[in-house]
Amino acid sequence: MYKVIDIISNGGGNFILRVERNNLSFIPGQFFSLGIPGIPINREYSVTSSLNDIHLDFLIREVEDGTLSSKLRKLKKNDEIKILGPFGEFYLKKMDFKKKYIFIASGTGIAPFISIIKSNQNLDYELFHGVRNFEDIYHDRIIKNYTVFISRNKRDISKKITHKHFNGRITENFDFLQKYIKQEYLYFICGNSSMVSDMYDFLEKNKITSNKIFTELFF
Amino acid sequence: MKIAISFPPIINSLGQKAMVSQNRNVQYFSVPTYLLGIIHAQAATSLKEMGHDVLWDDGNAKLKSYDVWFHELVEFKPKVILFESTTPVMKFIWNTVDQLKNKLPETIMIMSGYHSMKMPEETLKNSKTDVVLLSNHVDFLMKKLILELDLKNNNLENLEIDGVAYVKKNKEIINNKSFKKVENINNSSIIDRDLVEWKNYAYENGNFLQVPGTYATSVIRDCTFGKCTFCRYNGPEISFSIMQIKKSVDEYENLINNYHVKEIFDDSGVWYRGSDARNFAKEIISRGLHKKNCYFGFNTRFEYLDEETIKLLSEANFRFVLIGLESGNDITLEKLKKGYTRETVKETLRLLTKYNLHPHLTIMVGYYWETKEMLNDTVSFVKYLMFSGLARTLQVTLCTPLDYTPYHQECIDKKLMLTEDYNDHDMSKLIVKTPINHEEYYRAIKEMYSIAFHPKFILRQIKFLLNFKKRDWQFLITYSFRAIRRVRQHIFNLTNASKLKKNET
Repeated sequence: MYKVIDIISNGGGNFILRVERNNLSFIPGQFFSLGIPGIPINREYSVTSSLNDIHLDFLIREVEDGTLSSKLRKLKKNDEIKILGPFGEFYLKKMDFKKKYIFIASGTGIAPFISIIKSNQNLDYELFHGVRNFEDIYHDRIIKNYTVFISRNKRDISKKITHKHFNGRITENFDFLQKYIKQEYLYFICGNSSMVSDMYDFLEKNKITSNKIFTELFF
Repeated sequence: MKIAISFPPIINSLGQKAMVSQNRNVQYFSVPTYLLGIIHAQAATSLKEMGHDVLWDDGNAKLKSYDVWFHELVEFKPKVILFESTTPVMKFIWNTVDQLKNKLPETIMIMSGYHSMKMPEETLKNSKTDVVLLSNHVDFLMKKLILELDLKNNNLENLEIDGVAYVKKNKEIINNKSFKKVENINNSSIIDRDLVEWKNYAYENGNFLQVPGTYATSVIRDCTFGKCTFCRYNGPEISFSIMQIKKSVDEYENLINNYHVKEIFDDSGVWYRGSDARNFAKEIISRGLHKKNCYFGFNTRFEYLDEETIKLLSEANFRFVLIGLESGNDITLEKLKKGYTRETVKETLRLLTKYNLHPHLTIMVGYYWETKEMLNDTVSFVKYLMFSGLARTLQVTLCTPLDYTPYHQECIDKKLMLTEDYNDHDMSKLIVKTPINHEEYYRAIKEMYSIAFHPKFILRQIKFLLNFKKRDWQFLITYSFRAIRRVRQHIFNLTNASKLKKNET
């Protein structure tokens, strides 16, 4: 069992569940299975923490009509949660700092990239993030080269955005992404299956071979 | 183009048959279960939709002898034959391909399946196979491949599509290694039931309480979790894809109203969960399909469904829930990367049985690390679950390394394999070094299967009748008979079949 340290709102429907780490090891990009004692439900969430953090942060979208996420959001400091894992192979296997990484995410699919970037601060990367609303933009000063695509709330000019941003889905902005197509780059895609599938098609059409494309699906 | 999607009859010297179909383990049984290979059936459907002359050629389900099957396939004179393979029948399939190639030298032989997908060069070298599919999206890939073959007049030189390994005329093997891992399953075909002669699979299946039953077009291809080390749905080249609820319920409606199906099982690695599962149940109810005397079933994982969802599924007339327990020992569950512990198993089962669903547990023994204590944990836990009525049926098998899954690779890397003969991977005996004598695992299997004959178990089934649900009466009368037949068969296999040499042709 692990104790909750804090619940931090990340704007919109997203929040960060911060829990004790208790020396739990993981590779940036992996996910854990979380549950609440006494409730027979678990769900998989990716860590956003860096390897050096003393706690574990999970980026979670509170799903309307969801089964576990709303219960997680209501947890209080010192409440206990179950953590199993880590799982998954969506991580940088042979770190090569000379390579450039293109990270493409939708929604909370950004989580593994946050962990990878925080853990490898000299990494050469571009991060592209598709969100529904302004509120879903991820805020962390450590994240550079961050471009956001906003599919709803397109005209909310009252919100100040410091990141580069575009209207529309990430998959409606292939013209912009075209300049990031290079055979020597590595492409990591994480998010819902239709975004990943469409992005895959886009990369394939641009002659990027599958050994340079790595995917993780969220659902 | 004439295209055959072929499953040769595989029969051993005892007359037992083996089925090969999509992430299902090959076992030899005298009373076989005829399973429809869903993705291959979708491939057949989409090729037919493209205008090709497609032969769904399942020699097992059509009750053909090998000779009759072979003769009729040669007579059909296909331009292309698609096979499916898995480790225990690789040698058999290679031999079959070679025999067919002698009779049909111009026919392109295509191999699919998880074994050849991981080791394509092996199949291309050891048989006259022309093309190996490197993706589990057989339907998507076959469409692209047939389009290209059509354009090139069946010439195998310089194929441009991704996801294939093939042999050129000069015998050079080309493996492009590259393929799209994520396909949008909403663009796949719903199975043409008439094309695949669905009735051949509608009766001989122990999981159906009512017949005719059928398997739905899977709503999730592969597995949403996809990390269990022994499973084929694992690895960076395997991903998953989810179908829209409406598309699936449309198929259920068609199967019930036009094919008069009485039980539908979705064999997705893991079925919908959360709001998707609830919305599916609501859609079934809103169309009145829950009142059409048809049960529904699916595979799931422990801790994937909450009480509200289970209650809704029950209202929608869901019955059969297949869950991989795998072990009653937490160390084993952790090594398998199952993502749950035995403590949480009971609560999920309690909820399922509270709402009158019938959980079916799949269990394995004989892991290379499994000690006597771990094995006893599993046996005693399974007994507890069955005697207390938390599970209704079970299936126990020997954990057999297959198709170069992570578990298989671990066994190879640790030099634990006791055989290099693929024929030995048929689950009739243990083929890895273990901490205790193999006989101990076989005894454990027999002990768990014998639960079906134990007075405590039978009494528990009788108590279920107090629910006054039709399904419980059916279970006791019809299903018990079938279960006992199958239990006897499993026990027979463990005592006799492993001694037999498989008839390879």
